[in-house]
Amino acid sequence: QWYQRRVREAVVSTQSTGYTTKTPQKLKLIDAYLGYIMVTGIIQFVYCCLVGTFPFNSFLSGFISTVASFVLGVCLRIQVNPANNIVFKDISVERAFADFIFAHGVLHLVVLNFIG
Amino acid sequence: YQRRVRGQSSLFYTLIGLDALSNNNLAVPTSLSVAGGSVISGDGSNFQVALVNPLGEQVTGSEASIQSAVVPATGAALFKTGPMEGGDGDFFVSPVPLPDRGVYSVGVTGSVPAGFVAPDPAKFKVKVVLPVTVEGANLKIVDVDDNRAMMTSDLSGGAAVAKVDLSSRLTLDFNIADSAGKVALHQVFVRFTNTKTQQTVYFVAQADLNKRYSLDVNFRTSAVKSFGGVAGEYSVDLILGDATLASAVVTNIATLTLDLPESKEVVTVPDKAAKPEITHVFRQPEKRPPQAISSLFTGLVLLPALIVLGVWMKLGANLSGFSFSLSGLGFHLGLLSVLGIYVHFFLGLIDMFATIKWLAIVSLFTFLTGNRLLASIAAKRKEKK
Repeated sequence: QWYQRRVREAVVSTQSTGYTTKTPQKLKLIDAYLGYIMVTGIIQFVYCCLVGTFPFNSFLSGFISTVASFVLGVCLRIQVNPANNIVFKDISVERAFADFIFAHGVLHLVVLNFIG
Repeated sequence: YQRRVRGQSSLFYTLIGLDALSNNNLAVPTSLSVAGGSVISGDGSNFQVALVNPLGEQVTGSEASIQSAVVPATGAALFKTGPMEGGDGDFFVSPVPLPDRGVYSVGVTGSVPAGFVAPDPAKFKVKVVLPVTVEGANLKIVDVDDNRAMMTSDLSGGAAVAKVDLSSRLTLDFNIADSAGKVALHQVFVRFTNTKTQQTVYFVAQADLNKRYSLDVNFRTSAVKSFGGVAGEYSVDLILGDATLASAVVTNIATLTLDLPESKEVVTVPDKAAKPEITHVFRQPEKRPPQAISSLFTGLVLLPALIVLGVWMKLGANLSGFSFSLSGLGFHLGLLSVLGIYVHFFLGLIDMFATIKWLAIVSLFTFLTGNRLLASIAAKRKEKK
């Protein structure tokens, strides 16, 4: 039992130290952004649970906006990660960023229309 | 005043026309018309036909004759075929001694002297109406369960008087006859009238193949169905009607008192007072949370944005690499403009059409500048490597 706890602690610490040291700054920025998006989505969801779903379109558009932004952020992170360079040879960092910006433009137009 | 003048002038011109037709030397048109007696009631009246010119004057020297005078269905003849009696445009014919009742179709032709146009053969409808009598009537009040006759009457002594209740059945049978024998009429009804409320119930008496009419009213079933559950005194009338009757025959045949355990005497006095006014209730808006909670959560949602800014700064994000080149400035300006367009749309200042229009222009500019900016950054990065 104590043995299992020791292993668990070691795994957790390796993960966290591994993260802070090994992750490039760019990715950490994106991760912070992703965390922010997620927290915003959770807060919106909690609000909806508290006060009910009226107006439903507003809740949907807000929540889905956070979800879609999170997804786009993840895509950007994957494409920008140097470790994945082999897979994403043809897509430069700038191109990934441009796609990210464009997709966000479209997303926000749709969300603003639906939010009512 | 004006109308009368117009009426008079059109009448005048019509008369002039008719006179011209009637008093010319070439050809005067003539016609046959019924002059009387189209309803024969067996009292010796004759059927009269006139042969006239357009002005209605009878044509001297003319002849008329009956072509046919039969009932289309049975073939019974009313008049003998042949020339009609009378002359000079005024003709009549007597019916056969004992005509049968019915509606006859009489065909008449006429012949005229020279100078006149022969009339078209005419077909007239002549009706024979004859009185009828009710014969062999048998009115019985019978017990429903054991068919015991509680009252019988042949209606010879006037109207019958009886009491009926839920265990009674009224049976009535009779013949209708005229001088020629039994007849079947179109309308043979028995009417029950409640003497107090004047409500009426009609029953139809049906004839069998021997032309004997019968009616069967079972009060157990019909008390509610037909009489509406209303007890009381009813006068019973026999009504006979037909096209071949001069007028309907209504005879009072009985007075019945209907006893019911519960009489539903409906007193329908319609309430003429105004009904309560209906005020439309608009749909209540949905319940909204109190402003405090909404504001709290608005703040909560915006808080992570500040937090992430702080985290970014801590991570070392900065604007040191910001290129103040044309494309750099243009790209950022374009992005901000897109944001501005979205804000305008959200606030309702512009509709979707205008948004798309502006977006098309600005996004094109943003794309071009962004393309140049990112390409330069990529080139710089490649150089550094």
